[in-house]
Amino acid sequence: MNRSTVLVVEDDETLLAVLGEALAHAGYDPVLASGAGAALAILDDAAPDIIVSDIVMPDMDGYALLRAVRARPALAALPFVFLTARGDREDVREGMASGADDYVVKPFEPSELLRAIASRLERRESIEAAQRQARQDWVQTLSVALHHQLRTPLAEVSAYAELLADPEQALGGDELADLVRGLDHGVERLGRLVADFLLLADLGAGRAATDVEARRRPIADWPGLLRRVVDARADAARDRDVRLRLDCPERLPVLDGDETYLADAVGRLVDNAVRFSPTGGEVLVRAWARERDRLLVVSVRDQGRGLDIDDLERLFAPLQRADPERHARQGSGNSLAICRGLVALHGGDVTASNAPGAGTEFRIELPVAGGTPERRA
Amino acid sequence: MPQDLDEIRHALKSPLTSLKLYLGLLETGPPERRAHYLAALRGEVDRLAELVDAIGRSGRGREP
Repeated sequence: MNRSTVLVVEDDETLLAVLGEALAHAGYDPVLASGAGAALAILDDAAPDIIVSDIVMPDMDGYALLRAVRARPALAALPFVFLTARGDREDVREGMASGADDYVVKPFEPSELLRAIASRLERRESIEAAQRQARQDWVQTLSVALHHQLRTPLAEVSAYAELLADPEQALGGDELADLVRGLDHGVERLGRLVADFLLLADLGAGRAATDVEARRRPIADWPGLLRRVVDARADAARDRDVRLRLDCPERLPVLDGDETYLADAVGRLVDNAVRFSPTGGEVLVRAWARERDRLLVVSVRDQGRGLDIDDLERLFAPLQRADPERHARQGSGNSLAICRGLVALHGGDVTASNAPGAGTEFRIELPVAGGTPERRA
Repeated sequence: MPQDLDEIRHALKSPLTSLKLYLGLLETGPPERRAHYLAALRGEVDRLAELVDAIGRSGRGREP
């Protein structure tokens, strides 16, 4: 049975010592700090499961300590119990508003403190258990969807592979080349589907967020980024007789972010637009800075069938099943869900609307230091 | 059976990588090895299909 670590912060040495004794006797593993400064210094090493802290202390008070702890993303949910001689409503309110979980007023019975600690730890454990369960459920849902979505592409690839491997088939040079090409495309598609699933999983599990934090850099050359994204799709557009155009100013605001993910997000919109474009149609990629709310906007517009207005939001839902009955533009598997997830990691948003005249416009709005995208109703 | 996200990721990457490598060899490798590559490709596709089936089953909570 693991002993929970309790970090006790109290400037009165006698009280600190006796609290340590009482907690050890109750089966906890106490770590003692005689002030907020000492507590912050040993916080990482001690890795407490809960903090119990006095409020009035000479160097830094309990409220400031709480704020310092909550400022660390990893400790945002660490349970925090205040000890105080002042039971004023005002103090209680301030403590709870700063993010404390509970309050014990001095002088207290040992059982009062122990009950507060036990209940906070139990609550933390059930929250973590719920989060673990949610992650597991997500992996299970993804697993079922992965299986479903890969079945047909796998069957196609299997068919090609079988034909090619069958010595009975007397395949001519051209036939062979066609089959190998088919097999190649099939494997490419499988690779993309799997990569998309894994990215979707990472988005759901918070791993993508960690990637962004690690790779975040100022992106100074947005025009260059957009040009690369568009150029990479030039061949695909040409094959479908779709005109792909980029319209953006020479300079765009610098934006902090993960260049790989943002290029991926824009790329997905362009891929979709090209796919849903009628032959001879045009896909226009535009970008501009919206000064008033400090946003960078990237718009991808096609001249396809247009959206089914009722399903605007469903477009972005992950793990969709294509409904052949619906002729209007549907969500493209997981692509739009991933696009939105990647943009959301940067504080931005992706929206879709029917373009006046015909076709669909997708817009990515990214805040440029300090801006916030406006939510459309 | 892979239920953990990392296990799934790891398990899927091997056959996919092999498939791509064999495809590459098919196109650029010695013609006399072609039959071998094709047989291996087919094996890898089967392996991938079985894996995806297993992932689907574990997602539905059944015994693998």
